[in-house]
Amino acid sequence: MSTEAMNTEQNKSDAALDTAMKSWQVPAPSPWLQTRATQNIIAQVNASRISAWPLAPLRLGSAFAAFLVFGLLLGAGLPGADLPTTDTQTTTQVETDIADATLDGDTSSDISAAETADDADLIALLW
Amino acid sequence: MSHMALDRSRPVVAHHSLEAMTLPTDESLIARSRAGDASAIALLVERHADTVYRIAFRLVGQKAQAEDIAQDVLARMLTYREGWLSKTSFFVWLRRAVYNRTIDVYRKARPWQHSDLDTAADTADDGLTPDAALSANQTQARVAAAMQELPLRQRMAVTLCFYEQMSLAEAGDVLKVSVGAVESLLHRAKATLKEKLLDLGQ
Repeated sequence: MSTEAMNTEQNKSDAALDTAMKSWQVPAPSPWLQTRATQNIIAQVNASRISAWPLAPLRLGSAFAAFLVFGLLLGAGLPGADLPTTDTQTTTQVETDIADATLDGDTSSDISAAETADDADLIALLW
Repeated sequence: MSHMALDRSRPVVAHHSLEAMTLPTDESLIARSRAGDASAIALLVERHADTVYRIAFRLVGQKAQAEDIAQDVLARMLTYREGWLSKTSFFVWLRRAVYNRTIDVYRKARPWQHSDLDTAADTADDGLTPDAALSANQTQARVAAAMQELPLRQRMAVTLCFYEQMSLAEAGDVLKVSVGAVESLLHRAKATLKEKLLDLGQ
């Protein structure tokens, strides 16, 4: 069989298959299909709304609580508007103390001397 | 089966049409439906019921089972969500839902026995002589039976590309396979169907 004849045969069988496949029609669905599907979905939506209803006050309550907490935080922040200044002062005071300590010289040796003196007094007292 | 030839230039119908652009989108209808809009629910069902049922019927070959699957899939339409995790369009999602639901049904029960009366469409005998109607019904029953003998994935590929006129890429999206894999599925399905239905064209 020549290539052309094979192609012709192939096309014929393709066409026959095409026709046969197209002949398979889908029967119309039952008339209730759409109605029932619609009703099912409506029932689902209603059910989800009903089940969500008891939670609504809780949601409102949690929203209110969140608002309160936010308000408290905001309220607590307002009178303390000068807090950063206080912090700065504290920091400055600490820095000054450190500087004074440094100017005094070796603070650790001072402490050791005091401790040694205390120890000597204690030994004297015991003896 | 010329429709199953590898024509990648075939325009996509229905969901990309100009008419569809003026109508509310499926996503907006779903959002309205979730909010309890009954008219949106009715429109959503009306828009997709036939397609869902048609694909289900091609897959299972039985009207009652196809209607059950269609009911299930339609009832789950509102669960569709598109987000950054899932980029699947509703068009693809819905067809995949039919396929997945059919797999579930097949897992639970053995494939249904074919009923010639059920698989052959009642509409085929309109205006035909009794002999022609009988012949048409027999042809339909044989095609339905041949389709049922295909593996489900091949059946879905044929249904989407041949009967639903979807592109290979779209069918690939639904089946979660590459275009090449869809081509392969169609090729094997075509070979099997030809073998089963060879005498019909003679």
